[in-house]
Amino acid sequence: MPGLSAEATAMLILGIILFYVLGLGLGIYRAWRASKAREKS
Amino acid sequence: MSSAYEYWKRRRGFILATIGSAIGLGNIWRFSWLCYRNGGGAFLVPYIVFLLVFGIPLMILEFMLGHYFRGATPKVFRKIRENLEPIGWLAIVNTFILCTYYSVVLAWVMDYIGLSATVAWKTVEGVGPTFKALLSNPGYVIIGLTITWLIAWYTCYTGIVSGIERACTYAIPILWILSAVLVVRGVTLPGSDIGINWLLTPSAQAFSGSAIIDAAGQILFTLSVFGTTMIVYASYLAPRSEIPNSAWITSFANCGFSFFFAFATWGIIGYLMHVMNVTTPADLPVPLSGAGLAFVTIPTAVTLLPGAPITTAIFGTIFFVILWLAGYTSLISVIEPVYAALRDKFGISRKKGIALVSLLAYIISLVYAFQPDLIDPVDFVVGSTNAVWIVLLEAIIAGYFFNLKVLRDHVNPDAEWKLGAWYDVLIKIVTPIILIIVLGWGLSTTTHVSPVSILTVVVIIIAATILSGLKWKEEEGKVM
Repeated sequence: MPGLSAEATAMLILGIILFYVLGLGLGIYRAWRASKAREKS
Repeated sequence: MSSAYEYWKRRRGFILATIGSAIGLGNIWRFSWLCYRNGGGAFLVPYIVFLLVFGIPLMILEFMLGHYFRGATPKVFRKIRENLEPIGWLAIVNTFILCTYYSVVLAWVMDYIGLSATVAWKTVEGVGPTFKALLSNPGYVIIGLTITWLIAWYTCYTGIVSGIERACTYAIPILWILSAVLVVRGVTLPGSDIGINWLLTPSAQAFSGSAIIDAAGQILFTLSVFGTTMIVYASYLAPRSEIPNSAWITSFANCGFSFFFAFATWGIIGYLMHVMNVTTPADLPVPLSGAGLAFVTIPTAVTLLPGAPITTAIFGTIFFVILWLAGYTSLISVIEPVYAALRDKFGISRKKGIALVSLLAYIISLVYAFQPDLIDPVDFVVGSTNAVWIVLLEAIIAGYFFNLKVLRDHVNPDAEWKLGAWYDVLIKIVTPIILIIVLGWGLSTTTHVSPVSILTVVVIIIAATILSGLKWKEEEGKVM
């Protein structure tokens, strides 16, 4: 979307980081790490 | 009391079921509008803060209560203190009434799947009259209502694993995939960047005190933490299960979906602005939120798509299938806790309990099919005000009538991140303060109070009093 303003682009990136990286991504990573640890033990 | 207690087959199934409960119609037709109205991207800041300071903590609390006490809300509260049982029944009756009118909206959606596939409104001018004709034609609504209730009844009737877990295991991925199709179509339409700029560009003027209240309210309503569903769903977790991180994943999947779908909605709104040659969304002659967005704005937009009427049928149908799946996984999640409460108290079997709840709810929902005007005043009580009251009482009961450390010690050995003493502060102090402010603001600014709202409150109190006064089948509530 070339017409997206700089502020809107910044908020889009912020939303992706908050919701999908630090939020959902971190949660799934923690679950994956715990399941790997359980497999090893 | 049923001796063979049911458990989720997989953790993934439990998480998908809780995501299915949390993602509902509001994610699709309310979040993005709140974002636009309350300062665009600036709205995301209080939204995330409230998610972290009371949304996720409340979901963890409901998971812990259900898992620790193994039952529905009346049983949980009775085990904390015997005279608190009526509050549990207030939550259950409230949830039961919610499912009666929610199913009617879902029936409209189901009817619209058929109407979209055939482009029944034909032209933009036909969109409004088509929706009005549906509302004034109860016979047509009853067909959608009957199909919806048969599917919901069968899902719950077949049990936790074969019914709810299996349904959500398919429905939630399909929901995301279809949403991705709509998002791609939305953001590639001419003018979509106009709509998305309006959605995301931070605006200091639009960001006010009401934006903060809206963010808190939206977090509360979007996560399905109203004292029933999440408690009962967590009660079906195996004895040693992970809880805090499951609540984290559920909450972010839900809020992430709202954010994701906003691009479909506002890409389409931008396209409408482009086609209708208007400069602000407020100038559009169509609603930007709620049922109006779903049943008027989206059909209008898809009618104007390049490649219509084939693209109208394809993308219109996809939109209403998404809406129906989101509503269906929420509907089954409000039937289950009502049955679970009856099972706990009266020892009723799943087959009989689900049939009783579904049949009674279906009969009551017919009233709304004939009188759709009743939905708003009833929803004001059940879906807005009572939900806040109940969660407020839940936080106070768990925080002050029970020892939260017992719950933390119960879940921490299996937790993927541990709950410390900070968690008690969030539940005992921060959450009640936020909820009291949300409730006070909502009641002081509302224009929804009507005789129907008052009657709804009276019915809920009478029903909860009667249900809590009846005898427990095995009188084991104290020690179970």
